[in-house]
Amino acid sequence: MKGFLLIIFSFLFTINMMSQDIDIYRKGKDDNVKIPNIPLGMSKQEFHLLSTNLRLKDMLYAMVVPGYVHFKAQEKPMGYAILGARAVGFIGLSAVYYSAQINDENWYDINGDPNPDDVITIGNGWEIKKSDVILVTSATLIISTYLFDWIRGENLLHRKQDKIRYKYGIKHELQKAYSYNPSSGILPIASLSIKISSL
Amino acid sequence: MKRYILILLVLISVTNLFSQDNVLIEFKYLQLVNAQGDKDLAEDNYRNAEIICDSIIINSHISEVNAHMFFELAKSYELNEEYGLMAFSLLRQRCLAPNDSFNIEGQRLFEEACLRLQLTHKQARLLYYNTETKNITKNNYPAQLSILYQNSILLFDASVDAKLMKYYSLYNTQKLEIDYMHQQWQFLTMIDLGMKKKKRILSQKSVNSQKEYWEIEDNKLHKRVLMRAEHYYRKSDANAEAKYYLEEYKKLELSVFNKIQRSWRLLLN
Repeated sequence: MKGFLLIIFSFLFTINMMSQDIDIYRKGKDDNVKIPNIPLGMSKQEFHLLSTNLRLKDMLYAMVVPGYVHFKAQEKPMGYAILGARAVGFIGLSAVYYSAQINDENWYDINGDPNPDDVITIGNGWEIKKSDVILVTSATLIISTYLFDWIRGENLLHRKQDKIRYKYGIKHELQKAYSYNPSSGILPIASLSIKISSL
Repeated sequence: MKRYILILLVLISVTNLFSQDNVLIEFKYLQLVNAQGDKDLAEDNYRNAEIICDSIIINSHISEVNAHMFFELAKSYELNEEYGLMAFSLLRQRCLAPNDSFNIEGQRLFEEACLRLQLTHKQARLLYYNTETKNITKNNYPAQLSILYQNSILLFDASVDAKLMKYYSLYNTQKLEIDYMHQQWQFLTMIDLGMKKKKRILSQKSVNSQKEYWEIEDNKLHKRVLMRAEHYYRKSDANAEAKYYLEEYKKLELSVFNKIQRSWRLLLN
């Protein structure tokens, strides 16, 4: 029995290894061959927006590519703004890192002893290093732009998709209601239906 | 033979009914969106609505629904404060789909749009009365299109000009005589001259149709038009034509700066 199960498992494993890709989501073999029923008047941009999905892997892409979700939602100006803000964040981080390297300090040591020349005093004598301010600001900028890109971008994409679905959905219903149909305008006075039920 | 004629007639009527369907559906949708007052939805649908309007004009389509369609589209443009296209849509209704029931409301909306386009009350009324149409038929469609064209350019709005340029090829196919002012308007729009300057040129009372489009009494404007024309043709890779405008430019009274500018443009060619 054990041998038999081993054979089956190794067989399944081999089949899996032979497949070209491992898909988390169910994907049919002919998905890319199927021609969708595109409503009349739909632009390519609208079609592209409607077929766009945001998945977990896009969260990872958005970490690497600033403004990724906004670009996907076809909001280029905001995408470039996020790209710029993220670039400023990275420049800030690099500046802190290289200045620490030159001064032979620990660049991420926020609680270290501050150099008196490199200190800002806030409120009741609370002292903070200038480089720490830049470090924290830059890190905040990077994280906040990422979250902003993801949350606003996703919301925007969904709103755009809703708009397209609403527009063509209503038009489709209107088409059905008003289109030329020889039977339209005739009220049925009697009907015949056949019900097939399984016993 | 009779059978073929019958089939042909049925096919024509069915096609006609289908084309009416599209206008009706678009009109019903516009009505729904306008009732909601949703700016986003309205803006999103302009492209679709304009496709239907273009098909009405290109096919010289005549139907009762067209008037409703143009009127509803004007109200839709009002939602997003697109006053140029709003006025243009009302003019389309006036010229190509007359309907008396829209006269009072239409005039109010048209005057409101014109005032936002910096036209005077008098100008707005003149435009509105100039476009009054008793009835529209296949025979007078080209003439009505011509009236629409002539009055729409006087709105002096960039978005309307862009739409009119699109209709221009259609206008040419109708083989209508286009007067000097409209030829000049087409030239100035093609070279992308600023709206204020275009308005100044086209608003001149005395128009000498013997002159070239770029020959303008105001020397400064004359130079500006020639430079824009040169720029347009150079960007379109029509270098010989671009050089022709530079030659015309040379004939004018040029300042030192103008001469430097001309030399630089010659180098670019």
